[in-house]
Amino acid sequence: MSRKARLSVRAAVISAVSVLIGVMASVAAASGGAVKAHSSMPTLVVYSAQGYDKSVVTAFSKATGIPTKLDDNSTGPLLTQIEASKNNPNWGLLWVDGDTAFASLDQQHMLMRGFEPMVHWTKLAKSLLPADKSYTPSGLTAMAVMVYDKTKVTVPPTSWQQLLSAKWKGAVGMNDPSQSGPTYPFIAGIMQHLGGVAKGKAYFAKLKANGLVVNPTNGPTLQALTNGQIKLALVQSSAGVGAALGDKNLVVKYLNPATLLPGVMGIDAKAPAAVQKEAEKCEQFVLAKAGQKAMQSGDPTGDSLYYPVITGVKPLKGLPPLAMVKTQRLNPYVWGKRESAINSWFDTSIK
Amino acid sequence: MSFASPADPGSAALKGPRSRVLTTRPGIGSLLQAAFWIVLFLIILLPCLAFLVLAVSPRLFLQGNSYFTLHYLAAAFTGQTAVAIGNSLWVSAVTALIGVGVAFPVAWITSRTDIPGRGLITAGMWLVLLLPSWLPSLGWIRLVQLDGVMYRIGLNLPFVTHSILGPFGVVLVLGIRNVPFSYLAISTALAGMGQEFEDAARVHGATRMQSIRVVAPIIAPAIWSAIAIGFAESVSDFGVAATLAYTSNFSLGTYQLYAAINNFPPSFPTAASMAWLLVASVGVPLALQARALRGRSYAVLSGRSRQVIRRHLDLRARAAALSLIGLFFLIALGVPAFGAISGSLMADYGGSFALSTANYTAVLHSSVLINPLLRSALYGVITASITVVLGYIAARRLTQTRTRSTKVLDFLLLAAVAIPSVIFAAGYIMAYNLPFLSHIGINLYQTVGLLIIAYSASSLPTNARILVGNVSQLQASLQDAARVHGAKPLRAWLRGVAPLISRPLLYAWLLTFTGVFLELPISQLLYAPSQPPVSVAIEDNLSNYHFGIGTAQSVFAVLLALLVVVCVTGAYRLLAPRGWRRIGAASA
Amino acid sequence: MEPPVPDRIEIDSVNKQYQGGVQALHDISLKVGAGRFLVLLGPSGSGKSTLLRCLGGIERPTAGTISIDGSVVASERSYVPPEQRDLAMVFQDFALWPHMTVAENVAFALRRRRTSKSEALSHARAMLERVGLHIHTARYPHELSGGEQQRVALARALVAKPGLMLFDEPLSSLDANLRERLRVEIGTLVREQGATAVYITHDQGEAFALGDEIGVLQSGRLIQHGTPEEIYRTPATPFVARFTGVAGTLQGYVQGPGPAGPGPVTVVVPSTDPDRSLELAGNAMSELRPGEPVRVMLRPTATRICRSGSRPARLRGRILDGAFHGRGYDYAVEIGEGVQLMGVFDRRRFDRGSVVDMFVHQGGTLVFPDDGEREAPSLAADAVVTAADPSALVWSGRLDHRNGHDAVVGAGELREEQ
Repeated sequence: MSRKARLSVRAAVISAVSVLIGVMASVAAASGGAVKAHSSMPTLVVYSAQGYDKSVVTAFSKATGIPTKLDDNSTGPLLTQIEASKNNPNWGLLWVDGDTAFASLDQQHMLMRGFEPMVHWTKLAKSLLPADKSYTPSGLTAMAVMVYDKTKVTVPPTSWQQLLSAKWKGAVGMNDPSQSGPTYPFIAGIMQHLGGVAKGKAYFAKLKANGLVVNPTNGPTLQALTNGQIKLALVQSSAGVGAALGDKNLVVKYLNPATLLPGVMGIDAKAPAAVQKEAEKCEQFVLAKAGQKAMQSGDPTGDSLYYPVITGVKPLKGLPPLAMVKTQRLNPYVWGKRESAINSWFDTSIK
Repeated sequence: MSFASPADPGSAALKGPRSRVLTTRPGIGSLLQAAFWIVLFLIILLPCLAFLVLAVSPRLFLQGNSYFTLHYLAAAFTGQTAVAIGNSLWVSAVTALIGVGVAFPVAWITSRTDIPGRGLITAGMWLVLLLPSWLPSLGWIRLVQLDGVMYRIGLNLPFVTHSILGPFGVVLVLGIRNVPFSYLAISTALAGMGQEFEDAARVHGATRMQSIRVVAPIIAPAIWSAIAIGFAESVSDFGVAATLAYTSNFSLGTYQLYAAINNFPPSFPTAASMAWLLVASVGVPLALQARALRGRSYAVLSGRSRQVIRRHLDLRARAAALSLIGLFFLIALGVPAFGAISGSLMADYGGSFALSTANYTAVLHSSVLINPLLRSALYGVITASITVVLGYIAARRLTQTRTRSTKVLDFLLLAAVAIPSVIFAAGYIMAYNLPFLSHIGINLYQTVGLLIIAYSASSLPTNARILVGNVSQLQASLQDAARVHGAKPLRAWLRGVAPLISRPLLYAWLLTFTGVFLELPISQLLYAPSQPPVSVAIEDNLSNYHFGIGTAQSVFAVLLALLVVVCVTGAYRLLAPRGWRRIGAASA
Repeated sequence: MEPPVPDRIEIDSVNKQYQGGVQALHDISLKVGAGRFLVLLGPSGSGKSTLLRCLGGIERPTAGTISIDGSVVASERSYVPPEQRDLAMVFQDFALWPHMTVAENVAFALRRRRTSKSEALSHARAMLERVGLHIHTARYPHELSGGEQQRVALARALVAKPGLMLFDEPLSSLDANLRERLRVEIGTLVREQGATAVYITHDQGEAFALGDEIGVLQSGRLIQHGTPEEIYRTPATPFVARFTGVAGTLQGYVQGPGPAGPGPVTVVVPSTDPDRSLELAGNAMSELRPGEPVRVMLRPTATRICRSGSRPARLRGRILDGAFHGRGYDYAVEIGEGVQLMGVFDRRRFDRGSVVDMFVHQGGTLVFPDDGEREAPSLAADAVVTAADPSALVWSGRLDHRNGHDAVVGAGELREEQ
């Protein structure tokens, strides 16, 4: 290569690299500063693990002009952040599945109490409202649904006890509660249904003896089903129905009773009053028509497949009607305290 | 010593430069040194201590009721945690040895024989190093799991499944990951060790193999340092612990530590207690190293630059060496590449090999999906640039005469390698989200700034360790020569030193860049809301069952990282002065 | 003539080509008798190291054969690895293993003698005592000075009493004083053991001091092989002459009438003035035609500064510089613009700028056909001294060569040295 050609190549590389860095910088700046226009209002930081959170938060910010930022993570890291930063929290609104965590936060006085959005609750939703109004349900899923492939399973089990039969040896899969937030309520639900922690433990021990396959979360459990490793997947209703929407051979069935798992919003007790007000508006928005629309369109093959908690909003197509199922509710203030112990028992004894 | 008289401003101006150098240089030096220690304290020591102190004093950060308790530490020695830590220790020890055991012959062959493709071998080693450890893990799982790819193509080998999905597989993947660390350390040492040590052994009666045995101890410092860093890297690895080890029901310390944090409510004191044990465990290789090297000198570098005479390999030896090295790369790079690509081409819940490019198109057409990639690239560029500077300074300190402070630094940096990054991240929240900071208006938590500082802090130890080998080969006289010939310190460094280590610095930069680019735990806990880095975005997709999109995004991420690696090394080839590129070419 | 001795080393048409095409050795053939001390002399890049390494077995020639003691150690078909060649080597940078003590380093060489470890160590100690290092046996190499380290390397090479010893510029990284002392030690110890030695260096002083015979290498070829005297008196090429010490080079032509040489010949060296040229009697190194352009190389011993009553002066020059070394001075004398004679010895002290007359010995005046390599600058007109000029005088005035021969300025004060 001649010296001159070399120099011009040099110049080209230098300019290309600087342009690249410039583009990256502007993208980072733009995405960070998208909602900076309304500087008079404090920014509401939403911690959420919901699949539809981006569209809801964007719609909320657009509708109200309230600057909003989203910490979009799995439930685990979100709760870790909240616990680690509890002497100086940064969040305004927390929105994840499962009311047990909220009960525990409430017991630590980390949630603002006494706020309830002005909405028409469904009957089921009313049963889930806490007495001190420290958190608000936003939607319902059930734990667990049973998913199977109708080309491979023609006569599915109809009760929890049947899963222990030799017919389903090595065929049942579920999630690991230490990896998957919604799985602890399922275990707790079985325990409550069977009449206590000890009986529940005995049930899971038998399930293990029958070849229970434990995968980290809903996704891997469903993959184990579709790739034939298991025949029955016990997963969260939204995940199961979502999978069935994508694969017409998959069938979603409830076993009685199904444990209700509410998606829940809570407001930081230590947040400035202005932020708390914004968070209240956000909850109100979520439970209004526009918010519900955003929730149902944000993640149509996943979290959007929830059962609404307010009257007048229909669940998305594909969700089996909840009315035909016997459902049960866990008292989060009772079962929340047992979570850590039961999860480590599961880790050492069942997994 | 000062001849400058302050009384006469004119003469002071004339004499100024000389006397200023003489009188204020030590002042600036110690100031810089103090600044370096303060930075280390603030970005590594303080956050780690803030977290580790929870093990005995949970109440300090509102994580428990007692100001002092040994309960959590004692609990770490019992039950599942004890098993997991025990597993971590033996796995790390074995993988450190595997790393050296594989790297030593490969380094020997590439630096002492005329085997073709030496540049490719070194590049391949960097590639292995640049891959996050979960990637090969997932590749293996996909390959060998029941009904995995291996079975679908008709290979019914359950014993392979059983051995890969178990301690053997964990040791294999972590061991492979340790090879590049050892390779870089050992080949740097070999490049600095003249051929004549082997020649001397040969002419005085040692066979070829015996002569290798004679001279191998000369590079003992490099071997020990490779063992130490390999051990520390394996102890703190989470990528394999959370994937292959988890799937195999083989519990490792880092996984248990994560579980303690991830459970609700998280038990930080338990995690801190386990972190203490992991950090303390790096004392073992360090102590062995100190014992082995005590009282000897391994300085074999004279000022003369020696021409390395490469031994000619005949066809047979060449074929054997190449196929063994090829096998290594097939295992180290082929499997993860296969896993990631086959995964990304499968539709969500696709039960078969139904290939689909829809996921790739989706990523390319959605700003929500592509912005995190660019954002992480920017974070990577900034972090890598900061870290390389700090890493170079740390490496300089480490290679100077052993004083108490270099020993402390040595342990601090190695211990920091052994700290799982979730501890770093949680420690950052504890240390930099204190209420009093907010009262005086400093809000660092969940800002890009703190995220980048945390990235830098977590990559610094490995970075410094990697640079030590090359920096130790620098002679102080190089910079002094530039200084006495009239160059200012920075210019002296640029002229006299930078050319010699430009290549290792470049690689260290790339290592940090790719590490940060795909980093998950720190990103998850510290990222600025609404500005997710790519790893968080991928994790978000995966946890919401968008596997195809998530995997496609991760393939893009790896490709982008590779692209940056290719562009940066290419730009270096084009732009760096010729002399820069030649020097160090043998070692890097 | 030396008495005939059996050949210990026989190198026959050895070639070495490195990967990448660099031809390090071209067709080298060489024989060394048992107990002889051969010095291979050449600049860096001449191939002397490669040849030594081929002898040691560290490298393998691409063609040709090497025999030691009558058995072939390297040829196209066979190759004996270094450890089976029963030789020892001293390296330029010592190559002491830093992790072994001094005694361990030395004892290592006894492994091939199958001596027990304790016996080896006691032999090693004895050898170290011989080189004056017995008090340092338990130390590590880095604790010794450079000279001591090289003594350890020497002890390691000597301890097993090998038949062949190789030296790879062993003294080049030591200071001058030490170099001289160690050189004497090497010569003594090697001859004491009766070993054959091959020693490479780029220092002609070292070569002449040590070698029974000298081989001069240039660009991978063996240019000349002979005794030190032969090399000095009848260098084969201008290169050999230059490499073994030349005070200055002049260009001229052969004076008629018929062909001359090898042997005595008269050459004419023209000056800047076409009417004044220097006639010199010299030794032609090959046959020369009358009028053939030649290169005249003067050994430092060839020129002397005149005294009264000595032989007639032939050259006049100005002292540029003088280096005192005890017995007298080595002067650099300018005899034309850019033409200098180096190392002109005299016991007397002359100031810089002094003008001196010199005579030239025929023996040290080497005449080669002009290889046309580069043109030497011309001799100044007033550097040529004829019978008509005043002679044997030292001029303390200044000589300005640029202005012709009458440009001796300030020459009023004449000082005659004894």
